[in-house]
Amino acid sequence: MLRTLAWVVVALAGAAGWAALALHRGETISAAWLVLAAVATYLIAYRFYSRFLADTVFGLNDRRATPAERLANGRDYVPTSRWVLFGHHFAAIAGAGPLVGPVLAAQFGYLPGTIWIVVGVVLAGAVQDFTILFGSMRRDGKSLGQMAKEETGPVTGVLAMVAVMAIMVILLAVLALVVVNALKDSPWGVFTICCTIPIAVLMGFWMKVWRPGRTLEASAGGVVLLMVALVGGRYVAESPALAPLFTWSAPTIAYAVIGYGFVASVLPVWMLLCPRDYLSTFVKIGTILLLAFGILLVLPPLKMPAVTPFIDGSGPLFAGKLFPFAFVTIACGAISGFHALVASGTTPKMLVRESDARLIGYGGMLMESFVAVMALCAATLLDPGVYFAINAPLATLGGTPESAAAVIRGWGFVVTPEQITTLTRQVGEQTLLGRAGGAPSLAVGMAHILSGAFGQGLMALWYHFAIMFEALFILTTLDTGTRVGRFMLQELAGHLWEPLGRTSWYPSAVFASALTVAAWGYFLVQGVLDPLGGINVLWPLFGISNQLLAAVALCVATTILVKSGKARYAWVTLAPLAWVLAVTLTAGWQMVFSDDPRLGFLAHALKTADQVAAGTMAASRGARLIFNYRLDAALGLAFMTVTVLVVAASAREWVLVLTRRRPAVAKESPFVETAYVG
Amino acid sequence: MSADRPRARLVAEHPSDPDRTSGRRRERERLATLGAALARAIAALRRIAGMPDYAAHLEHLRRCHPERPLPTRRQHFEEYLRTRYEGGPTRCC
Repeated sequence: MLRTLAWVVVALAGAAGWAALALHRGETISAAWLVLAAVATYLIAYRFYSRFLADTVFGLNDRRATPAERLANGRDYVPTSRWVLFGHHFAAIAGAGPLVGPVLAAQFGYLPGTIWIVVGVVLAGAVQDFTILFGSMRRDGKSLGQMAKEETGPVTGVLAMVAVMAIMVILLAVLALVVVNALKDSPWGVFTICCTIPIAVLMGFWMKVWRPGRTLEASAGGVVLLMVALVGGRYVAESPALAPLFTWSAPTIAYAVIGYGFVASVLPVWMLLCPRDYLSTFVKIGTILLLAFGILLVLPPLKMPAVTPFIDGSGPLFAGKLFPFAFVTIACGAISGFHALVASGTTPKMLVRESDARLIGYGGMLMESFVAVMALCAATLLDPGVYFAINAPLATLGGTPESAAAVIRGWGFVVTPEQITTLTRQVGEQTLLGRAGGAPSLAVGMAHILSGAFGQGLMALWYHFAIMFEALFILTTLDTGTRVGRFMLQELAGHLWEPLGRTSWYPSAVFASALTVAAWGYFLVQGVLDPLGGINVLWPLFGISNQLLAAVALCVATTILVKSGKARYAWVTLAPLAWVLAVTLTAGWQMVFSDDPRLGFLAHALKTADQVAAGTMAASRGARLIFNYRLDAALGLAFMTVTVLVVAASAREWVLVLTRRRPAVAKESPFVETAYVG
Repeated sequence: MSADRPRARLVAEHPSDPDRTSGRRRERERLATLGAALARAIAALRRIAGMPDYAAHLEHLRRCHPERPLPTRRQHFEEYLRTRYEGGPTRCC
């Protein structure tokens, strides 16, 4: 009775939150309403929908021994208590995606992003993560690719592998571009990030050579040194002798990041990769907790309108209308195909009992969605004028605060040049204009929140703390991602010539690393040189590829359901699949074929050709741009083709099973009774 | 959320027990509990960050493979490094 009452209260609170968001059309609205609507929706979805999935659809059975129990080896198959595993899983899935996407999508206003993040996660993202985790758990922790191969056939398996490789390349390129835009002409940021490399090496020697295996000690020391480097950055930025040494242009940083990715991939893991991994995990968890605490304490007013005029596709950050582009821009936080790789990686090998998969698969994704909501709050609490000054491309804004303010006033948002220069000085930068990519505006928003929560006057420090935190874990994604790409490539190349497949053979490692780095490095450099900033092309492309991977994962999930005789519940994955396909295929189609040169790659290539013919653009530069736009178009088409093929192959399988031409047998590991009591 | 797990509960002190020795014992017990809680917290941190857990691995080997020689801390760490970063992605976007 009391419980029912409590849930009624939660439901009413959520309804109040949504009503406030829907009906409010004033100057500002408190972030409290947004947080309230989101959290109440999560609670209700977790209590009711995830229980329905767990009990009725999957039939989770705590008497069935999990892989962690049956295959325990003390290394990757380790029974882990559920809250600890929740932390582990969350640390693995939450990266820069849920922070950057909502910030960019804020150009449409706070409302579209909020609705998609909250509704999307409940009905799509968390369902995908939970289903894949369930499937993998019932198959000894097999990966998404292996499951696709076993359930739908070898072709689908290979296609899934290809999709993973392609998305990886685009992901790494766009994340690197975010870092470049955050660090260009910022001696403080560059110094702090440069310091993380010797700090990591020091940690590496500590835990490998001096005190073997003492990873926690090394990490504690690393975090302290990192904070020293952060404070030291201010001294560097203010020193007339040191500041020029660390003031790097965008192309310089791009090449430095590429070089770093290569070195990190070929060096032994203990020297750079592993210590940075730990460092970024702890900083990430700490900062997210700090941000949540700050937002709940300050409950800042959101100054961005609920919906901006840019929903018609004229937005300065990226082209394209609200549908489908709001849903592509925010991938992580609502639904992220990449999670299917983690949910079929380390996590299923650590579950103690089957029912824990609910908290970890569904609950973990709700948590990531909340991170996205916080990022949205941090971006929309800024004055819209300031937000656009930071995020619109330099080519649009012009190089000075005066020109930027004039352009932004033309869009209907009030901002003065003084506002921009004051803010720039407050956060200790030389310029904030045209830093597209989400990280800097998120950092300004976080600095507002954290200095509001923990005392004024430290704005610059908080800003650079936020930049350091984002750059740190983006670079960690970059080096682990490059290494994963290297292994995938070596596996593929091993089929052509056996020695290339040996992961520890040095020439093969160097070759595969160079190829992987060259692939994402190419897109990174083109993005840096792009007059419109590159984010406008690469981020939507990444969003599309990520959600197409989600479509692949949802296909595999549906196949698993159909084959385990749960076809009548297949709508739980089919409905999000239909939505994701509608969104991404529309977005992909528009990005390739739209007549609007701001949006369509082919149209843009044509326009560039005209400019070259008219003599307004140098022929060599024009040729390069045209080649890149066509390459992007080919890539978009390839993504769509792979997905359509996977969907077709899966649909064929479903029809065969449902018409009883193929036995409905899922390739689950056989039931073994658990030895645990209770 | 199910409340299926027993929660640790503070045992109420007996009001008629002013004995100092038993007080000291309680103090020791409390310290031991505190130490165990700290060890659990550290183990949880390790697991969350995906760090190796040497003690847990030794316990596993003693229980399941008593015939195998126990690795040193250094050997265990090197084995962990070999397996952790080869294979699928461990981190997301």
